[in-house]
Amino acid sequence: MNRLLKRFIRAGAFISKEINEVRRQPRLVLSLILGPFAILFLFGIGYQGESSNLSALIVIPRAGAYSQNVEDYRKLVGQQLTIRDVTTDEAAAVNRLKQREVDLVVVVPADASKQISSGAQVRVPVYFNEVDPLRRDWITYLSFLYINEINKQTVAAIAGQGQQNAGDVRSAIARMRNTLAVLDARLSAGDISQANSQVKSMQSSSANVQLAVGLLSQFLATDTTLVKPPAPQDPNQVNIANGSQAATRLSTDLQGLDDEVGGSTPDPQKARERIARVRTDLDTLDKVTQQFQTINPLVLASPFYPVAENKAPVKASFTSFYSPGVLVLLLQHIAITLAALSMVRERLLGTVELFRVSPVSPGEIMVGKYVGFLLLLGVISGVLLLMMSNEFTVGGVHLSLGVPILGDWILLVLTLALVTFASVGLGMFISALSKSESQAVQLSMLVLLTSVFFSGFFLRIEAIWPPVRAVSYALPVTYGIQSLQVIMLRGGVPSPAFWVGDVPFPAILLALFALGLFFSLLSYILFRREFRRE
Amino acid sequence: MSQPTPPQNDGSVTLQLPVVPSPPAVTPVMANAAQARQPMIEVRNASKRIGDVDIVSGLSFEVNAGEIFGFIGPSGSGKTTTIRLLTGVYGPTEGEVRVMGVAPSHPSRRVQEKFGYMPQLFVLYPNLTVQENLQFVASLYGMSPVLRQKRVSEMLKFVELWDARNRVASNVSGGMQRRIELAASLLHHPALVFADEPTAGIDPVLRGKFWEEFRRLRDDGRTIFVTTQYVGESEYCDRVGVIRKGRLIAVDTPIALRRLAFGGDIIDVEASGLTLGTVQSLTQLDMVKEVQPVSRRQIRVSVDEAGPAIPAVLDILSANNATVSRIEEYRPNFDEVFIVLMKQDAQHRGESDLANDE
Repeated sequence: MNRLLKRFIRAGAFISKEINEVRRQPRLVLSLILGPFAILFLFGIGYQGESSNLSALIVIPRAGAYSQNVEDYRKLVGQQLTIRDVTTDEAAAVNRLKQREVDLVVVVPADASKQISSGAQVRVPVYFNEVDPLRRDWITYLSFLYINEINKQTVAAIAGQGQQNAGDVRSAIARMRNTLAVLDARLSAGDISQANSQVKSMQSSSANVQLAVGLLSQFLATDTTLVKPPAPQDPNQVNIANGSQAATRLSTDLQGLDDEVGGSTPDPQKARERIARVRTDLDTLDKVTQQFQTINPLVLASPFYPVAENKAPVKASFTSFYSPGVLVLLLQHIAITLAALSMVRERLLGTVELFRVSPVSPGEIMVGKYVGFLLLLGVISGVLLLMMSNEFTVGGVHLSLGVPILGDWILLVLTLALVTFASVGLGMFISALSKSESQAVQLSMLVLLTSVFFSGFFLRIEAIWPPVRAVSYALPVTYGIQSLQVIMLRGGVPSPAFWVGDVPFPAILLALFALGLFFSLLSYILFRREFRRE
Repeated sequence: MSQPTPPQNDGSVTLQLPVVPSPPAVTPVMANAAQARQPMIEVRNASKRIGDVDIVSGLSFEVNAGEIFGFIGPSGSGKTTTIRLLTGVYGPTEGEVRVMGVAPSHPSRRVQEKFGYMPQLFVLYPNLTVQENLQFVASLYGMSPVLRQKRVSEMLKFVELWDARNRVASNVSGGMQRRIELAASLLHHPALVFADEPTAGIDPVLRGKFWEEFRRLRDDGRTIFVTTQYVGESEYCDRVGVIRKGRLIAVDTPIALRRLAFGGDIIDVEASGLTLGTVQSLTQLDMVKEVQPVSRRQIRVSVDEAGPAIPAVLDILSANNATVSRIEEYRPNFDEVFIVLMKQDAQHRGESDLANDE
């Protein structure tokens, strides 16, 4: 018989053996398929996202007009913070924090107004008692957010006060208008001396108006990273941005009027032209001031607010987001455990001795086992995908977790096949290192634990120190999660990708294949050594 | 499997008058002349050391094609190590081992396809059925699906496991498991079968069946290398190697081994009228080495070979007016032969007793 055919037959012995062995253990089949689904299902119904709600105590100064009504403070904070109580006893509050009855204690400083008035920033102590680093960072960030909110409200109050003050500016402008009318009348009457006196009066009033309007215009027209004031297109156009220019122009025009009226023989026609210019300047300044008054103080304090819009193709629930990871993690674990135990069992059963005497080679054994496990895990993956996907309905009723699968099914299947390939390789490697079943199981569990921490399943890989990230990329699950999340939830092709003809092929799958090949070769070398005659 | 002949564990055969020497229990049948010329197994001064311990040393023997070669020794004497040297699981530390003309530690697939191996313990898969286990082993030898199906069915019927073919191997008895192993080792018509204690722990009836099958295979021209702890089974072998503490102490046919142990054949005589003169007359015969009186009516005569000696002894007894009621070759069972050989080896090595032999 053809030698090649015999090789296939010998490898086939292991394919059918592995499948039959699993088939003969209904409980194992049940746990292999229903177990992972049950985990996913429980996760889906049980996981409600990271709880970000924190409880807080507010400590207010004994003296001062601070409200002791907890509801007043509750109105100030969002959903992330629940104000439990308001107290003046800081020591008792800190004690409750130590007892972990509350998450935060916020101490309102006694002399905040005084410190602000003196130009100092006010220190607001926020105490917490947390060992979880993630939660610790969250509390720190939340403190920053709430202090920002307090700052915003403070600025808004100041802006409101400024708007009230703007009323005085408008009164001054109105007075300047009246003086201008008197000036005009005096000029018409030929009373140059009185006219000159009116101009001097206006010049002294305009200094305050110019300062006030100049400041608020500057405030409104401040050039920041996010805000660029529009360039004035029409000098006569009234807007907040050119208020500052109008204030400067008023000064120039008043000086021109003074020069005209203060001369020995003032020209009435020219003087009236100057008066008309000053009137225009005052109109502009009045409109700018009026506009400033109509702006909501909160807008002045916090001119921007975000409107977040998710451009992802699907609004994934926690279950949907974690399902690809859970699927790959389970697949890797099952593959590793099956492969790791498989060769150890052969060794313990004594079949290895039979193989050594028979014409079967280590390569044929490995190929047979590989194909057997690929077929078995292919069936498990298929059933799990069906149970996960939102396509699975019976009689119109969704019996699945409703996880969207937006991407290319070929890439999806390829990813799962390569994850299985690499995981079986890793399992074979563990098997080659293990002398007993308990060792193999222990090493498999270590890989599972490593995967949970390093694969990007819960913690982002970018947060891992780059040299240690090598551990992440030694795990098939890392590539699987990255690839499946893009394929299933984004409907895309994991990048970077290279083109095979017109088809984009993700480089990550090539890396996964290389990883599988590496583990397979390593295992093959070790098995060959084991098969070598002693 | 046809109705087996129950084995005779004591190894003795009682002869009725007229007395003739019994033929060898088995007669090697050579498949062809080439096989007869070429030893199937050649071992030259082979040793195997594991760690600092010499498991076997100085092994030298040949196994001819078409014979049953028994390898007998106490537990721990090196039988399994020897079979592992022959199957290539181990390579020799020193010396040379050749099986079918090649070193088994560097075997070709073509040679390995001709090996049948029955390990000492059940090494197949407890979760597979009897049939699936045999299918698996047949596939290891590259048998096509059609041939595999046919042979597995044949072997299942042969080892009387057809009705149990769908039972998982963990649910069958120990005897059945040994039968599965036997069937597995014979599925691919091997030219050379290595059986490591095939009859250990199984009932006498099944043991008889196994030996019957080995003889059938031998008659079919195949070579069987079999280890056993049951000394009585030596009788079923064409030749026997006796191993003790890793050293081969004797290799020969079962009859020759008995002679080796006892210095020749023994004839038991029971007669009335035995006198000192009768004993002296017997000792005058060239073929008689020694005459031992056992009782007033019984003597034991040591001779080179019982066949030609018995008529001569009868003549002397008749001439001395002794009335013979029984004369027969005394064939000490192989347990006795084995113990004698072990003691001789212990004495040869200067050991006081066999206490260390398990």
